[in-house]
Amino acid sequence: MSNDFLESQILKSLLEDLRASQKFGIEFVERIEHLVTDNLLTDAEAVYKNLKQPLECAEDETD
Amino acid sequence: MKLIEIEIQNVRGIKDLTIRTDGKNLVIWGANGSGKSGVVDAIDFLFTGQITRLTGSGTSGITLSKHGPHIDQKAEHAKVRAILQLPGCEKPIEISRAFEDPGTLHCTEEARALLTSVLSFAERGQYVLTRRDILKYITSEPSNRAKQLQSILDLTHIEEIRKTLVKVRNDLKNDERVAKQGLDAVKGAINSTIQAATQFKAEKILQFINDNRVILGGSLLDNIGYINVREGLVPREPYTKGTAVSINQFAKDLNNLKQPLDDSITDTEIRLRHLIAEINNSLGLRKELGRLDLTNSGIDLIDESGSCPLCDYPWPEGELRSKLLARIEAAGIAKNYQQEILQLSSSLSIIANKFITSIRTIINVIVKEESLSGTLPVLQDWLTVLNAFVSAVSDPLNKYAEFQAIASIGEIFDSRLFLEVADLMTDVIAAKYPSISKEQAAWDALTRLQENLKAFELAETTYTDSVNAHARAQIFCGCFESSRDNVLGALYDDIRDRLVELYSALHSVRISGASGHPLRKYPDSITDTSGHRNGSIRTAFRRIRTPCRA
Repeated sequence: MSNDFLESQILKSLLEDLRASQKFGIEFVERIEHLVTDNLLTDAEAVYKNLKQPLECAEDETD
Repeated sequence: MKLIEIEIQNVRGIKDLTIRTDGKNLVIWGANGSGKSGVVDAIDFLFTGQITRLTGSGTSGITLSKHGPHIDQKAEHAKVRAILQLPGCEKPIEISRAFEDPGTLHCTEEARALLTSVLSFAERGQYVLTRRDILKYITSEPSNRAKQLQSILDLTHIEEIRKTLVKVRNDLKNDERVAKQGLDAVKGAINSTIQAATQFKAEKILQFINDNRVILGGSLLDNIGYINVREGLVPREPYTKGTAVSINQFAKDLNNLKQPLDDSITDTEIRLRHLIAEINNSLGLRKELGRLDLTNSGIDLIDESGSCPLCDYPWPEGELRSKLLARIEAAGIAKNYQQEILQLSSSLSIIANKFITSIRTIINVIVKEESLSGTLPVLQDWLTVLNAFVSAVSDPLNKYAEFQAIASIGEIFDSRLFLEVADLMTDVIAAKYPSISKEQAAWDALTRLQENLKAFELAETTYTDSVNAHARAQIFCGCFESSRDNVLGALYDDIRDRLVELYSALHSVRISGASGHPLRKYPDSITDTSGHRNGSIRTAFRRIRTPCRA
């Protein structure tokens, strides 16, 4: 049900929050955008893979 | 989307009715049986080709074709037509649907394309909110509102996403723990190679490298990297290649195991034991630490209802989460204990891994010597104890207290049994493998260290990646929950405000403020499901000045 208005609002807000946090940079946000676009946020394996994979711009990671 | 006009012919209890709303909000009221629901049914039919109220439990024997049209009319005379204003489309569009062909929506192809998302939305029946649905929502306990909202709007997918994100975050947290164990193991292996007594220190590694490089006529290095360990040295064949054994390296591993228990190891273990005992003896600390883990898990488990995940107690919306977050903040002392315990257990793990590495290396050599087969059980038993120790210190609060009751630190690193067979091992291996030059020994030592450092770089990268991945998951999860709460919270407030506004307009009363539970602002009549007692006989319509936001 990726077309659900509220769901899309929540996901839109999520991406805005992630962008605003500036914690991991655009690459991380783009990965999440792909997960959202492909409706993969309930696919634990896909989410795990995308979070696990190191970011190319390591300097974006402040931890 | 806004409704400009709707024309209903022979639907349910309505014979012929045209309503012009001009895109404004529409309120319908009237006595029981006056046809209010018929208007809702007509809108439902127009968009979906069915009437939700005629389906589901308790509707056996009721059909759309028989019970949809007016009782005096046949299906071919029953139809609904509407004029709509769609966002981004200046010209209003007209659509209609007839009961004789409920599966067909009549409109232009252009209008159909514009209506795609509206029709998809309508198929879920979300817009058909009966009075019972609305009352269920406004009379729900605060902690249950989000759940009701989710139920009405069919937002189960949002909860599925949240559960997936929490699961992934927990998996990544576990990955981080495993990666830390791996890193400690490699640090132990490096300490075994350079024969460091206890702590893992970069300067000792560099010293070891340069000592051996000097023997081989190489220049001194100022930084450590597995690639440059043997840089600029004349390559040699490793003596350990094939079946040969470097007696020097073997002696070093034996020596690692012969070392008496260092005071710092004992001190570290005593401190760890002391902290664990202190926690176990202090009800407050134990509770706080127990709570810390439980609280962290508990926050994860709170769903959109906000109720207690253990007992379902209906906490007011957001209050349980706030309380738990405050508890985590207050558990500062317990957190300090937790951090020190983790550091101490990591140190002990590195030390034990140093022993484990040397024992494994020695076993690999003596397992091929028949005359030393009797010494194998000594090393294997020791290895078992050390592995159990590493496992216990990897989860100190839960496992170490139990483990230390079985074996003390003195027993874990007790080399007496080993010392009884160590000389025999030395003699047998020395007799079989000739001693090598100090240059060859240096080359072999650097070769082994290079392998260790390569493994270290990999383990460190894995650990760093795991920490970052876990942090990413935490932020991702947090942002998602926060976004969900914000959007649903705003929706709830919006609905509440509009209910207040509509109620004020209907009853010509002013309700001060728009916050809090809407039920508290309404007299009993609004929650009375028997219908509007003061309504007119005929269905009436009243326009509210607020434009429709849907």
